[in-house]
Amino acid sequence: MTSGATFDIPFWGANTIMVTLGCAVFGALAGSVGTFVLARKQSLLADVAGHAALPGVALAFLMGEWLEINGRSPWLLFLGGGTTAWLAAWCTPWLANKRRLGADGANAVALAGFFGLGTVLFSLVQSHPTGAQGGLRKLLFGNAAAITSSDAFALASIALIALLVLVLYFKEFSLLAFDEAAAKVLGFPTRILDWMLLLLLVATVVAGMQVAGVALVVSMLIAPAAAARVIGGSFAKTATLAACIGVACAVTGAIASRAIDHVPTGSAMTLAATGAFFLSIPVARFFHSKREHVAKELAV
Amino acid sequence: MSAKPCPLDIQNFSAGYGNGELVVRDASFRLRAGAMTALVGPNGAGKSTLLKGALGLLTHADTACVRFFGRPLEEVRARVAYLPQRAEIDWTFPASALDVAAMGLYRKIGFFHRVTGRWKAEARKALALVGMESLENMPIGELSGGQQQRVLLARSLAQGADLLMLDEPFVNVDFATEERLGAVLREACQRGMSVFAVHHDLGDVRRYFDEAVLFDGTVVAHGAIDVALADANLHEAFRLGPPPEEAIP
Repeated sequence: MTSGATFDIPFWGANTIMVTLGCAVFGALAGSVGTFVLARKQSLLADVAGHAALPGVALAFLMGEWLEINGRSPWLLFLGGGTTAWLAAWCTPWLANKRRLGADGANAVALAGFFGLGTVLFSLVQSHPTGAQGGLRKLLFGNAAAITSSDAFALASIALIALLVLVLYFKEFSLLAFDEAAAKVLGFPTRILDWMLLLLLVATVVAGMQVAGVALVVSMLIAPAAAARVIGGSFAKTATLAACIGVACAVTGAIASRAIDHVPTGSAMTLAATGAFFLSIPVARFFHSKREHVAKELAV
Repeated sequence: MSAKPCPLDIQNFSAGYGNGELVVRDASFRLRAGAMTALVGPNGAGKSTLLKGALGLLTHADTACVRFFGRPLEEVRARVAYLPQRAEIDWTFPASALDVAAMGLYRKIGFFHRVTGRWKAEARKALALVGMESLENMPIGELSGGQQQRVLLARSLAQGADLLMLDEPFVNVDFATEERLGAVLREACQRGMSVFAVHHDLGDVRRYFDEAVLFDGTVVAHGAIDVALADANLHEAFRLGPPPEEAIP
């Protein structure tokens, strides 16, 4: 095989395999965390957190260069992006509750504010001698082809730790998402669990920055979860299905962006996830009609 | 033989929201164990605030004045269950009836442990007690309003609660469902549970409840239905002015 978009041995080198595995782990995390984000009606908050990672990444890069440490280090960028994403995820609900702005207005103000700050800081990064070559532009829409094995290792590590936390506290998180008052009366530490879920959201944003991009990472959080939710079933089944759809979309996006020149990975993942969502509608209709039949038979 | 401990003892309890204004003022009453007690009063009287405040769900509530089974809530959480208004729950949440019933067992199961077959069997038993075992795999969003209430009730039964606190359980359900729910609650009482429910319809309090707390920001009257809901008390709580004088024969 000789064409550019071939699936020959060099295309599947060690780096590609590592990056594809990193994307797969990110997809699993995004799908399962997205199930909780969707259940808690925090989709727009996830979008705010994604966009808010941008100024943190730019600041981390500039500080790294200023301190003469590697400003391009994935861990440093994760720390910077995670800090501002967390700040946004924390202060947006506070704005909504304390200032009588409502979630809708608070999300819009925070998203525009953080992203505006991010673009200003990014112009500073571009004017920096090493900034333009730093490859940070890929963080907007993602570029799996440009990330290194160490980047992939870093994002896969964060995603795996977050997935482990999600699995360990799955039932407590699900009770919180379904009926917070009951969780409180039962004595669960709802505030801590709430903060942990926000941290998982931030971890997903951070893990997805390089592959999906900060502007589109929300699509990988919401679309696979929405597709799984349309199909229905128990919460555990929905989260598992969302994780599987997330893996499929992330890997499809990563492969498509490597195979087709100039296609950002985030855009390819988003298209795959949107396709999965629309495909879920006829699938759900099939299962729904079967369940409806049973319900009519057993209705009391 | 010692008397059963009072399931809910509230003395001089006050509660409100963040603006500093008290919605519940100096409320005092004691529930009778094993009885179905209704909390009735006009709209905006603070009935839901009383319930939520007593359960520690509000930041501005004097929970030190509240005792459940003679103890602070913190010590007897497993014995108290709360069913919010149906509108406060997202019924599109992707969960089956069995999932929701099993949530009542989460405290017993403990952190880091899965809901195994043994726990599912317990949740199934609770669903059977409310006649919902045949719909255990049904997504909750596809159940009727009455079935959804029964699933929440099964969650409380699975929890092993001795006091059930419900906020408007009969709202937006048809008459047949209301009757079925009332019967299920009565059966729960016969098994030793006490029921305390916010109820808005004065017309059918007698049909379902043994006692009533008439409430208008504070307790206007409390006791057997006929005593608590006497005309004079209703006129005071609903601010209807003095009751009409009896006709002179």
